[in-house]
Amino acid sequence: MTPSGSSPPIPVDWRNLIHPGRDLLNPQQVGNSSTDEHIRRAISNAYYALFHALADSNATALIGTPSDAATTAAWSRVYRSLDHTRALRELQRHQPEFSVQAQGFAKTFSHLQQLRHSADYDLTASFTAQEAMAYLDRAEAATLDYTQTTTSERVYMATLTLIRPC
Amino acid sequence: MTANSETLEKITSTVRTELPKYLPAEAAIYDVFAQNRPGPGDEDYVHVRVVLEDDHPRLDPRNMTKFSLNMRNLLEQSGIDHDPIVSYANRGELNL
Repeated sequence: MTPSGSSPPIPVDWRNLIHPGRDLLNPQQVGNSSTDEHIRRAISNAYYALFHALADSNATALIGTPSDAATTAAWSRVYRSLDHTRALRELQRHQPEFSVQAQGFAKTFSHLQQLRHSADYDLTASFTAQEAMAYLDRAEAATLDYTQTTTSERVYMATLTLIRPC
Repeated sequence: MTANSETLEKITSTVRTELPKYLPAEAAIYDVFAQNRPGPGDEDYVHVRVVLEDDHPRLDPRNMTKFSLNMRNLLEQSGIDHDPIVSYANRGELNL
């Protein structure tokens, strides 16, 4: 089967979540000091930068660069298949098996997912702008390091986070 | 998993002891607080807030991640099955 009418996939660029997150913490950008809502949104951006970086890596590791309608559809399907809960569980479970760079990514992913949950849903939790800035810095460094891991490791991470064995 | 007060105190103590190895030399710890927070799926996690004295250099994010990885190992060796999430605030942000 060859799907027709597919547009080339445009993954969410994780950098385009980090930079606006920093803007939310910059008084010159937000008009005064950052509000609680700005800080919570910046933390959420830090997590989603990691999430989309992993989704992009998974799709490219398993499918490669899309070259026609079929591989475009396959790439997009893999990208969309990343599930927050499964990714957290499998990255935590298998973390000791990973390279140092991938361990850092897995640790940052799992911590930021939990923090993102607090930032979005726990109104009793408080955060400061410096805390959010440090999380954005960690998300950026962890993702840059992850892009330096081997293709075979990224294939392994993709299968862990996407495929449930029988 | 919810941590009891004794565990929170041990985590706080470990952070105080180990963290300076990963901070810039000019950064000083003012205080450390640990608490349980609700996480995804109704599972609590331990959140540690490190309060630093103001005007420290920007923290090295890779060092902070190394610290988190090492903390997990150190706590496991002490029989503590928690993976605390550490954040870094400035004293001036909290009016302490």
